[in-house]
Amino acid sequence: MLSISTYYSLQYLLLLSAAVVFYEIFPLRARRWVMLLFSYLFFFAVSGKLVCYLILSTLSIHHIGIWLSDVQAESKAKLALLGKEAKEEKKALSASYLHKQRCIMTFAVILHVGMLLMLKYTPFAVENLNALIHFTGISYTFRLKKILVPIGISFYTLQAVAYLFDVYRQKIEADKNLLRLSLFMGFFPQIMEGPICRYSDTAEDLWKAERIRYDNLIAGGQRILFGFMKKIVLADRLNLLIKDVFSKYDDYDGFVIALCAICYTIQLYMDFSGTMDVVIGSAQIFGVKLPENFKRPFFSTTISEFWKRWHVTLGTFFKDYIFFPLSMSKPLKKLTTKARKKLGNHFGPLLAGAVALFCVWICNGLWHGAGWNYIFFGMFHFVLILLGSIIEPAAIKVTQKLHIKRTSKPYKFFQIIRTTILVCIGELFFRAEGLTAGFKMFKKIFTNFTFATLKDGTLFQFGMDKQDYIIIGVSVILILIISILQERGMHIRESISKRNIAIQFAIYYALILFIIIFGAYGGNYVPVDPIYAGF
Amino acid sequence: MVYVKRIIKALIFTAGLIFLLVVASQIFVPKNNTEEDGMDYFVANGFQGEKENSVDVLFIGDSEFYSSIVPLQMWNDAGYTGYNCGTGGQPLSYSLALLQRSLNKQSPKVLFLETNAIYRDQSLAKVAYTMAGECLPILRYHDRWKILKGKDFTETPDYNWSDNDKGYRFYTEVKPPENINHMVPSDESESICRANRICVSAIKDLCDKNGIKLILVSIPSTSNWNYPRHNGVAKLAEELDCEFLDLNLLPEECPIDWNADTRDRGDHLNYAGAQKVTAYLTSYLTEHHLVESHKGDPYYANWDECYDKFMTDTVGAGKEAPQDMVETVD
Repeated sequence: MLSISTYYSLQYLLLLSAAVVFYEIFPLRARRWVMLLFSYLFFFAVSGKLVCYLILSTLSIHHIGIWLSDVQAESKAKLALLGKEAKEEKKALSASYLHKQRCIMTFAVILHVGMLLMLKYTPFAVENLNALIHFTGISYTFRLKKILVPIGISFYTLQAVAYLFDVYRQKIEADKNLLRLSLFMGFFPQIMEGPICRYSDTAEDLWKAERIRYDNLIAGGQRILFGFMKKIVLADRLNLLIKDVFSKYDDYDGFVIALCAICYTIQLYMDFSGTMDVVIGSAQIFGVKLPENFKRPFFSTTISEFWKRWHVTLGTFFKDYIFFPLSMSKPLKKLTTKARKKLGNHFGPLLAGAVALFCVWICNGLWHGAGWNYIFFGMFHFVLILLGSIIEPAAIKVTQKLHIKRTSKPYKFFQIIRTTILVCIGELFFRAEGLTAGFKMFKKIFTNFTFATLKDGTLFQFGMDKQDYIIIGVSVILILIISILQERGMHIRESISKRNIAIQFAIYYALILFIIIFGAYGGNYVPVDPIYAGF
Repeated sequence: MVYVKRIIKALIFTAGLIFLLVVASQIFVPKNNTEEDGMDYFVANGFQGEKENSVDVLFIGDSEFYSSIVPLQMWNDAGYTGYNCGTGGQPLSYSLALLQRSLNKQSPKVLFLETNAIYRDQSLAKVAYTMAGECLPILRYHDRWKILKGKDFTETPDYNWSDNDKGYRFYTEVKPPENINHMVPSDESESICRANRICVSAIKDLCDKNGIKLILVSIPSTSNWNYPRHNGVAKLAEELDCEFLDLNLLPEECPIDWNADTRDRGDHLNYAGAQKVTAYLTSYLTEHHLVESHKGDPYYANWDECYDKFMTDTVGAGKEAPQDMVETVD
């Protein structure tokens, strides 16, 4: 039976190639069906029978979207029938229809988010309930059968919710075409790890089902190759060190733990951004432009900026569907007005913002996983972002007094390093095997830090030797250079394709051989499962 | 015209890539079959260093085999030349690769294939990767970039190393299992994954093509074997028209004493158990006239030396073998 657990597999490449061939040989109308068939085939290969959750979710948003649209149309029609003088009547009618729409949305959110909560968070809830029961001295334990969770549920559920909210807000028309909506929900390259797309981002491209263009094929292939390099050369190689240190942190000193926190941050970035390269590259082959999920996050000068560059589509989802609605809600508006009077124009709005921000980061933490370390991870970033806003006026004053130019390159460099260190600390808790383990590891960085491990061979205990560290260093520098060029606005893939054919071939061959020779695969390497697929 | 140009471009690119991979493979393939040269599972691959056409019996399988078959005992008792190609957690795709490699220099008459690996599931992708690694060694030996020397660029492979103990690993520890009734009769039949069926069929085809008799063997193991597995392999052996010896069901011919003959609670046999299994397989080969004795033949003179060395340096000195690295199946 076809089984796919990662994009970095022969199975995925075969499925992608087959999809390209069948997509190309069929006429326009059939191409859409080919794409849907391959999308469901991929999801079936990833999650088996659980593909039914995706289909049910699609059917549900299709129906609810039309329902919302009908209510909106009915409301407009009835309002149009009323004369200009019937203002009160109009107001009452609008309120009544708005209430109806809100009821539908509440039902829809409960249905979709409830399903996600039930499948993903029930074991965590039961585990904590049992701990609480045992704490009170009762010897009862709730038992739970293993719940099978479809891979990618956290991604497609957010897409479904975003679609319904956009229909509710009348940003988009409800799609009556089930095929187009199914393509939007199930488009196979992005179903496992995102990016979390909006209907307006991809539905039209998917529906156009244009023929495969040569330049798209080449550009998509280039991006897929680059993703493979990040994952196979770097993320999988670092796994040897990370797996061992996080599971046996008691055996290592603070230096190794700090190094491991940095390595995990690199691994997570290479794994997820590499996957996004494969996903976006695969979509590009079919002429579908997916939104970028990473914008060189390690050039961020603040944590707030970091989250505008890291997992961008998740950040914008939370901003558009949690932060803004909460900030604009009546209770928080009132709170802002009151706080502004008492705390002034800077700190006043911060209070209401903090409430909305708190909700965003609780959701962000929980979205990543059902565990206290994830909640802590969310709260850690909430506190850092809030602190950043609170102390900003003071920081400006201090830098002015010290005659430090905030726009200078050294200061910017300092900010980048500071942000990176904070991100690494957050990732340490994120990866730690439980919150207690996270705190113990963090404590060791300060209480048991020594450079002795640099000399005693500890770093070579994980199945990694000097050459492994060298190749990690070289690859990181290579990606850093590419990132700097991109940050300066250079379009590397475009500039490669403008070169003569011999140089193009040489670059492709070099990249392919680099992956084949320096990739951490075969032998005793165990490839790390795609990290974000589990969220 | 544009399409033609693009197709030509793609063909040139592919041809260039294949050429580069072939050249790189010549560089990365180990130049000798030793650990220092980066040979994979160098002990199991020691048969490549044996004299040409000198190995009549091959034992290909996982740790069940390298713990349970003593080729030098077989030599001493009957003059049969065998080599034990057991590796830890060996997937069947690698078993197939070992058989292919053996045919470069040897013409074995009999292949004993351990059946435990038949139930070690692997994906078709793993099979494809292993086979691709045999065609383009850069895929299997890419990690040798760490140990490349000047000779890797100039020399061609010349495999001349062989393991003195012919692949057998000596263990004497005794740890009896808790449950010895692992073969409870049953009509159930455990299914075999598609990739493994393909591998066993390919092994059988290769054996038929090269006049090798394929015999499936289940080594006694309380923790790895049971009746549904026996039924599954028996059915497969019938389909493939090959012999199947389940030593778990032959207590009289191969009388394993579970209180003395296992080193890890019934998972693997120790030397005492291995001697019994080897004795049985030797008598099986004799009874069925499958191979000839080479005792006294000067071409095989070093086998006597190896046996003496095995008895003094390994058995006599009680030199226990290290644990093997287990190959990742997927």
